Amino acid sequence: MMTNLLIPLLLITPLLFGIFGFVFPKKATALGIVFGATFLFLSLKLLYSVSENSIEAYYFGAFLPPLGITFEALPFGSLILAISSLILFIVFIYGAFFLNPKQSSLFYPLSSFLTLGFVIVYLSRDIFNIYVGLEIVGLSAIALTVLQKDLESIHSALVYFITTLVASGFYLLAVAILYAKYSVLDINALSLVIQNDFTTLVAFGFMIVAFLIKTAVFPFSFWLPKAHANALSPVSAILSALVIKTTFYLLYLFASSMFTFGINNYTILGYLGVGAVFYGGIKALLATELKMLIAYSTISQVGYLLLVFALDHPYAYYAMVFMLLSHAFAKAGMFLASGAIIHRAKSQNITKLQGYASITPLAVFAIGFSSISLIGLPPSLGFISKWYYLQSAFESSSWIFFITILGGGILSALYLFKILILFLQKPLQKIEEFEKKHDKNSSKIVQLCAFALSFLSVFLGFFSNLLIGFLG
Amino acid sequence: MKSKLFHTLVLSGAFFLFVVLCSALFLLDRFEPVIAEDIIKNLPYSGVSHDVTAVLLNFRALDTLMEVGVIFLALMAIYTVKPHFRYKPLSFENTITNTFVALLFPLIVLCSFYILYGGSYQSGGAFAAAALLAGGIIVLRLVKPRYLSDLQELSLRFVYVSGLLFFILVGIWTLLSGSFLEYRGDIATFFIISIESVLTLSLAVILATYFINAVQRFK
Amino acid sequence: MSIFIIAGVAIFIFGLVGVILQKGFIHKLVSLNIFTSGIFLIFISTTVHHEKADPLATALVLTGLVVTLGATAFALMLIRAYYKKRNQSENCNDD
Repeated sequence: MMTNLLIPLLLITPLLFGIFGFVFPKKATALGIVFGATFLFLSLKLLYSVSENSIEAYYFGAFLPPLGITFEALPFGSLILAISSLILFIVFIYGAFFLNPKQSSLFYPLSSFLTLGFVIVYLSRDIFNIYVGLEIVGLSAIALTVLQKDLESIHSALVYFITTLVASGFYLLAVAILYAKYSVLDINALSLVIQNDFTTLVAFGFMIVAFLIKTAVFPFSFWLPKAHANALSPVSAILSALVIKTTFYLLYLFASSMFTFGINNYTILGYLGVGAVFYGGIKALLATELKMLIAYSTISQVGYLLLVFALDHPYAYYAMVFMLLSHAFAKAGMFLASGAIIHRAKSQNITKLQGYASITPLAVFAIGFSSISLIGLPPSLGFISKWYYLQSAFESSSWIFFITILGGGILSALYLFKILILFLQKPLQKIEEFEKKHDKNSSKIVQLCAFALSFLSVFLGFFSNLLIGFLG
Repeated sequence: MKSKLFHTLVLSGAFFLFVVLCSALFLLDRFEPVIAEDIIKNLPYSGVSHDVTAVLLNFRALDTLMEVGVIFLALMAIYTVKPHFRYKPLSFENTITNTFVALLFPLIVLCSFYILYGGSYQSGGAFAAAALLAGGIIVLRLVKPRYLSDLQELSLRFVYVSGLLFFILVGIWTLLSGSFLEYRGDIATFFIISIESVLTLSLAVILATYFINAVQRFK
Repeated sequence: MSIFIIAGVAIFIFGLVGVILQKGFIHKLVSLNIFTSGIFLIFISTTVHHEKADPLATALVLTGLVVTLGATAFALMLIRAYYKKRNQSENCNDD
């Protein structure tokens, strides 16, 4: 396959599969699985091409910037895209056994369009094109949240919707100001002509706020816990593991390539990260429902990602990337496993979930493995990420961040061990076995998917050197 | 109590933001039309003679494709909550509305054709024409609910996707001999007009579906 | 053009305050539309040259309008579904 066809194919594939999944709703699951596999293949090919340095920028319509739209595959972006495609594929398999046909008929087309949004956000070099990509991601995420269809879900989806639209508006305003000042929309062109003056700072301020809202950074995290907890479990996995990362990636991309006014100006983001780590951790400790706990844990982990802006050390970048990857796998595995457990228990209340290690052992095992990565125990990728962060904080003598990283780890250990110990105790009452064989089999496969993701978050720790080499 | 404090905080923050934003915008120098010059240079090769249409459907055609994708995505999103609503017609048969629609609807179709094909040399194009036509479809559906009410779900879904699908197929066709959605000169005119026509019809039906779902009779 | 810029910023701020302070989802949605209208006005009024609007800015605003339209339509359906479900659970009524 010629590498210069790869980028357009990455756009065409989600569109076509989404369209056909919608026109033939009964075949949606099959089309979804085929799409997952195809897209995984394409994004891995992209990753390989980037590592060989054999991929060039793609000019849509054969118009050079600033007139046309350019797509470029950089190491960081293509890595996240590949990871997203892998997680999506496993979640799709999970969905085939977890969702009923009516939910499936919309889940797979909507997820295909979500993937289209990912491709635009991670590869596009045009700031207005990125706005459209953000809208695609936002709309499909909301629609996926509403598949659950009860009152709580719709309410939390509406709160998420209004919030994300306001954030998109801020981003569009920033695009307007930048275009009015510099007359170009291309990121590479902008990074050459951008100046450090008041108007640009105002524009960038709006952009930062937009990304902070969409990434649910404390104090803009009010919309996340209910939205993620009330959705269907595969949707929660996609939201927490993948959708959150898109706007964080954009924040890092814009801060490091366009608005390079010195790392000191971004220290405030690091302090917001500190707030997020402790706020999320404490709220997770106090949570009474399983998925709310996992959602607050996401808020806490996102705080770690923000520390990269405050630590001016080469290791901080790798720490951030590893944290992003390990959290994606660990959180996705955790949500999928919780879906299996809650499906059996018919309740999200933690006190009712006592003893489930004997009923859904593989799911609890998955949560255990995810916890290893989230707390940061060796040899997981989460451990390596935290280790690099600690080293950066130590060598820059930033004691606040050092204590934050350690404190956050302790908090995660507290709330994760709490539920794990509860799972491992004796069950409250005698639980009847599954009657139908079909349910038993699908339950096994569902738990296997969850375990695969959680396992990867630990196993990838062995490949950290390979990843560092790739990122350069 | 707490609400009053919150109100004051928000309003003072808004005033501060107003001042900041106004000063930021007034500090801007005269706008330099860097891209506009490129547009004027490339306009003869774009296949249309209006600059905005050329930008939308030739120079930045990918944005337009993604935009149609967003419209289609919103339709799919509406399908997730659609089972909540049953469609009931809003009116009963009478002479006034029947005559009015009989006169109005063909006029709307004619106007939307004019806007559609006028887009090549003046403001207009597929989206404006689709919006007008969608209004016409909604009026027709409200007054004469039995028209087209036995349309199969599958064919309706096919009409929804036809615009987006045709756009992508044109893109794949151009991909085989160059870049995605690359066309110049006379072939560009052909592609643009065909894309816009299919897009108008399909988008009109989608836009009408957005709102027809909400019609319900109140007792 | 400065009057249009001030108007654009004012509309933007009004819409934003409306989204935050208004109670009721429909009110918030209308305020959101006002908010985006303000942004489009700022977009066009800051990029005027040779007594005409910039063609690229016009094309971008057209795309933004359509995207906002799609989002508003979906939001309307969601709000309707929300109120319908809420009335259903309160009154145990059909419709």
